[in-house]
Amino acid sequence: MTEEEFDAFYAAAFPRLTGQLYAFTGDHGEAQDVVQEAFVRAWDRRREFLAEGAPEAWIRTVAMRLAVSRWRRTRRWLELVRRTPPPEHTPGPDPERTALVAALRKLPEAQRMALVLHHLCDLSVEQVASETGAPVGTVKARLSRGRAALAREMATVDGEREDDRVR
Amino acid sequence: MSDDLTTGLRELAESGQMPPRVPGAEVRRRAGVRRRRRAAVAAAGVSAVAALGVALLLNLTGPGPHERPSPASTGTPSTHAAPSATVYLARRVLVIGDRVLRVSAGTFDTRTPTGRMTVTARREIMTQPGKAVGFKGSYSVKVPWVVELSADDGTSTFLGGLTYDSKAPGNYDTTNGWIGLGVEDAKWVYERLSVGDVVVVEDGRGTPVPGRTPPPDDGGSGGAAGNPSVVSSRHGSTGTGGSG
Repeated sequence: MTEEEFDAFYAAAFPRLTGQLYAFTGDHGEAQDVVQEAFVRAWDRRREFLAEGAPEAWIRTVAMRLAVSRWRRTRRWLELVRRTPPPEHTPGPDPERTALVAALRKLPEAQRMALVLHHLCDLSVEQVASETGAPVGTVKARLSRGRAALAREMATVDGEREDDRVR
Repeated sequence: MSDDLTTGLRELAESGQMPPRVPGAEVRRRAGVRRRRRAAVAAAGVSAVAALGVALLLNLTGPGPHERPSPASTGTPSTHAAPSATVYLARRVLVIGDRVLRVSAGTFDTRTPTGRMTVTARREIMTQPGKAVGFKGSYSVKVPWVVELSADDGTSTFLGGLTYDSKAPGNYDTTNGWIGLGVEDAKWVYERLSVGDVVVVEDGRGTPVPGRTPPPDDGGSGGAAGNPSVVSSRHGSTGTGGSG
């Protein structure tokens, strides 16, 4: 991959990947950070990521792992420095998206990753299993539990909205 | 639910799409810098092992009758990569590239930790309890352009925009240990530091700051207050930042 090809790939794939990582992290800055970092690593290991035949998937996997590792490190950092919970993220103004982001953030990482890979990135259950290193049955369970938890969360939000309207 | 979820996630992802912050050439440059750093560290490691082997050999064989210990081994290569930025606390400045920016760090009672730190995270804005940034009472303070730093020993601090005291950077210390910059400067630094970059925080007393000539009376106690050479050269601000 020449420098020009890499730059073109970066320019084309970056927005798409930040969108996917935004769905995963619920944070624009975080999404940009991890995607950019994944591209830095990709240039250094371009043989490896080209050999796999799916460069965008390679970047996405690296970015998702970085996001997970940053959450864990940030939690530890917060405990060390602030001893207070992290600030609430302020998502965009669209209430539907806000509710979805909030509901997604309540899911365990593994369920959220499975949902995003399967429903957003169009990976089959088997591909999600391969990408996350989990057995197919586990991925199916994560998807099922994740969907159920999201449905519950969204129903709660809808119910609260209805209540607000009645008042 | 599945179709709704797919649609919802797609809309969410579409709304979250963002253009690259830096061009592809910058991404490649950063990758190159890291590769060189790794190579330097590896080479230094090999040298250190070789030196240790020689030392052990000499030690085992013992010094000859006319042998003297060598002078202090100042030629030992450092195993550390060059930092992306250095903070000189006593002078209240942060040096990054060819820019020298004013900072305000921890007060005497709540000193800023020093040492070699790594950028572990970046946040456009972070809400801090007032007490955590040096306020009394139950205020909550928003710190913009936060760059979190951690040392290997677990020590942490962060760089960020000092919104509530624009006169402090370069003049006096006001935080409870974090490093405050003018808001514009904090944003500039935020955009240039990436996760994994190294930032060195030094006391800086008696150390000349690169990129400027210290004035004759610059002993560190007066900070950069009277030092007109400490400026934010690229965007023309004085380094004291705004209050946005």
